[in-house]
Parts: sequence; structure tokens; C-alpha cells
Amino acid sequence: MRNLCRQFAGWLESEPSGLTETWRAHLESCAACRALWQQEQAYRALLRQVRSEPVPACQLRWEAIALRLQTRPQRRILWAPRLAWGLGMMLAVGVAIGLWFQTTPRTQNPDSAVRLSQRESASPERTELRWRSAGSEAHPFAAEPVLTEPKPTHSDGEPEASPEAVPEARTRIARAPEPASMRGAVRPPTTQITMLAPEPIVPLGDTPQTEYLPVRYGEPAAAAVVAGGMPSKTQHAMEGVDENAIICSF
Amino acid sequence: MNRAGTVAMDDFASGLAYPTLSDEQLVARAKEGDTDALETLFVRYRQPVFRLVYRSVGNADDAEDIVQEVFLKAFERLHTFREQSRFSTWLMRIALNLCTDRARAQKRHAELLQREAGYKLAWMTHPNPPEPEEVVQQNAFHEAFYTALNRLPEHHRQLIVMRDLEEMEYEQMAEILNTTVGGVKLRVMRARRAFKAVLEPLLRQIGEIE
Repeated sequence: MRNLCRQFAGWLESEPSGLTETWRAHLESCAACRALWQQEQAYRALLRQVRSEPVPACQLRWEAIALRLQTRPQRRILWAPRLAWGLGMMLAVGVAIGLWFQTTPRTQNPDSAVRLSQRESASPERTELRWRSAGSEAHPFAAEPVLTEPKPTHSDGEPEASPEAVPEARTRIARAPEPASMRGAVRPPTTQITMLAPEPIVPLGDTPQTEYLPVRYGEPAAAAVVAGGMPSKTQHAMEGVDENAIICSF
Repeated sequence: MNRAGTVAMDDFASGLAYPTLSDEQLVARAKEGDTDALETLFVRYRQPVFRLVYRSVGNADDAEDIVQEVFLKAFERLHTFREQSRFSTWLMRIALNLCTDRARAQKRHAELLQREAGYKLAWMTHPNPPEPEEVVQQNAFHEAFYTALNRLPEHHRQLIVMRDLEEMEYEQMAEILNTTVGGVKLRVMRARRAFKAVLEPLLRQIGEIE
């Protein structure tokens, strides 16, 4: 019976035009459904009555609309092109930021460290380094000088955390990528070249006597040749420290 | 809505420039700047739009204001009408949106006044109180019906007006409301349940139902 009552309620909501014999028989035996049916009939009667009431005629005249159309400022949709322009700008900025992040060097990368140090040195006291190799215009391995500060280490080999402990006068020159023409050629056994120079490095052109960084590949004599004279005291002093060091004298 | 015959008679009676052109042809001409086409469209749909709005707001003056705004908005934005639906549907959609906007504004205004008056203005709980002269004319059923209708949320009220008062087809309602026929049927069913829940105590008061 309850199922039938539920079906009847659903049937009422489907806007039926009239009672069928099945439902008429059900209503005779079910007071709840009969009350529902009466409510539905009252609702429909009310709707018919309201619908039959006349709706007043619209008194609006075309002249009023035409006048308003002429006097009203044109309200074109201005936000659409602005929105498109704004979205385009946002996209361009997003792409630019993405590219910047992609191309910006990381500090762990020696190349980027050099760029950072170069950026930091972009000051009035900017130091320029000029390289000269013996008998040639440019050294094949020094095409792009790469300067990094060596990390000071503890006795157990762990890197020193304190920046004050970093020696001021030491810079390490990492090797530039090997050009294709030099592949397979015999080269000095050194794999890491270290430059030792006192601070400050005198900027080129500030003094009448131009000085160059001497470059040495392992042999003190070669370093002296590169330096354009005899090895200096500093060079001699550092001889025992690092065979692969480049001794700079000024 | 059985407005086709009325529309044609209105067109001829007012001496319009294009009484026989279809809506699509009139819209095309109006987009080219033909004001006679605009006038024909206005005369053709003035009363149908007014009926819908009047049923929704229950006041002739307010309804005329809204109808004027409907046509101004429609004609100003006619270039945006893509003709994916009928012009009449597009017009009705604008009308219903404006009715919704007005109902919201009215509700906000009433709440503001109530707050200022310390919530002592009980008569303002009805968004569209019947005017005194109308009350005299209305019988108890009419009053109960519109009282219940005005107590409904705007989205339910519009559905009752469209389906039960204006007897719109479900297909047209689906177009206007930009949804499916099944969706509209479901929404109408819910609106009716809500409406009957409000209406039943009022009808019981006047002794219409036991």
C-alpha cells in the first residue's frame, strides 16, 4: 500500500490531466492520497483563477525607448578586449619568469658562481684580468676564465661554514671546456689550475705599468716564462704548497 | 504562450514598417542600424515580456520599468546576439535576469531598512506587498497565491511563473534557463513543492482546503 501511495505522489508531480481508474480505486481506499489529490485540485483551481485575471497592457511607447537609446551613452563591452590583453600580458610574464628560472645559474654550478662573482664585481673597483699565454694570443684552456672561491675545509675535510675563514687572496681558476681541436692533444698533467694572488688586484690601465697574471702549468720555469721574468718571491714561497698553482706576481 | 496571433495584430495595427518579417530578418536589419526593425521587435514582444515580468514582480509600474530596461539592454547589445537561440528566448532571459537583479536589490534594501529600524518593520518581510487599492479588488485566493509566491526564492518564483502561470513549454524554458528539459522538469517539481509548502497554510486559513 505504501508503495502505491509513493507511486501516486510521483504520478501527481508528472502533471496528470485526470484520474485513471486505477488511481480512482486507490483513492477510495486511501485517505492520505485522497487529501493529496484534493490539495492538487485546489492548487490547480487557484492557478486557473490567477491565470484568468487580466494582465494590464504595457503602456511603454517606442518613442520613449528610442529617446533613451539616443541619449544613453553607448555601453560597449569594453572588458572583453581588456581581459584578453590582460591575459596575454600575464601569459607573457609567466613565460618570461619561467625562462628566467630556467636560464638563471645555480650557485652550485661553477659557471654560475663565476657569473655571480662577476656581477658582484661590477663596481668602480672592478678588476680585470688579462691573460697572456707564451707565444700565442690566447691559451686554449683559458678561453673563458672561471673564478671561484675555494671552500675552506676543516681538518677532517668537511667544508668550513664560516665565510670569515675564507682566504682572501686565493681564487681558483676552474678549467674551461676543452675545445674540440684540442681533444687528444698532449697537455700538461694538471687537472686543476690554482691562481694565487695578493689583494687587491690592480685594475688595468690605472697604473702606467700594465701587469699580467702569470700562468704556469706545473713547472716553475714555465711559470717564470709566462710571467715574463724570473719567479718572484711569492712564487718561490708557494712552490711547495701546490704544484699545480698558478703563481701571480705584481 | 499563445502570442502569435496577438503579435501579428499588434504589428499591423501600429502601422509598422516590417509587420511580416520574421524575427531573424528583423534582427539582421536591426544590426545594420535599421531603427524601424527595432521598433517592430519592440512592438512584437512588448506585451509578452511585460506579462512575464508583471507575473514575477506583481506590480505594473515596476514591471514597466523592467521592460524598458530589458529592451534598452537588448538593443544595445544586439551585436552580441549570436542567434543560437530565438530572439524571444534571448529577450526573456534578459527579462528574468533583470527580475532577479531587482529582487536582490530589493531584498538588500529591505534588510538595510530593517536593520536601521531595529527589525521592527514586519510589513517589509514581504518583498512585494500588495498595494492598498489592489487589496480591495483581490479576493482571498488571489491574495494567498501572491503572498505565497512572493515568499518564494526568486529562482523558484520564476519557474512557477513560467510554467504554471504563463504555461511555457519545457523546451522553451530549457532554452531560456540554458539547461536541459529534464533539468527544468526537476527544478519545476522542486519549486512546486516549495510553493505548495508555503501556500497550503494560507489556503487552510481561508478554508479552501481542510
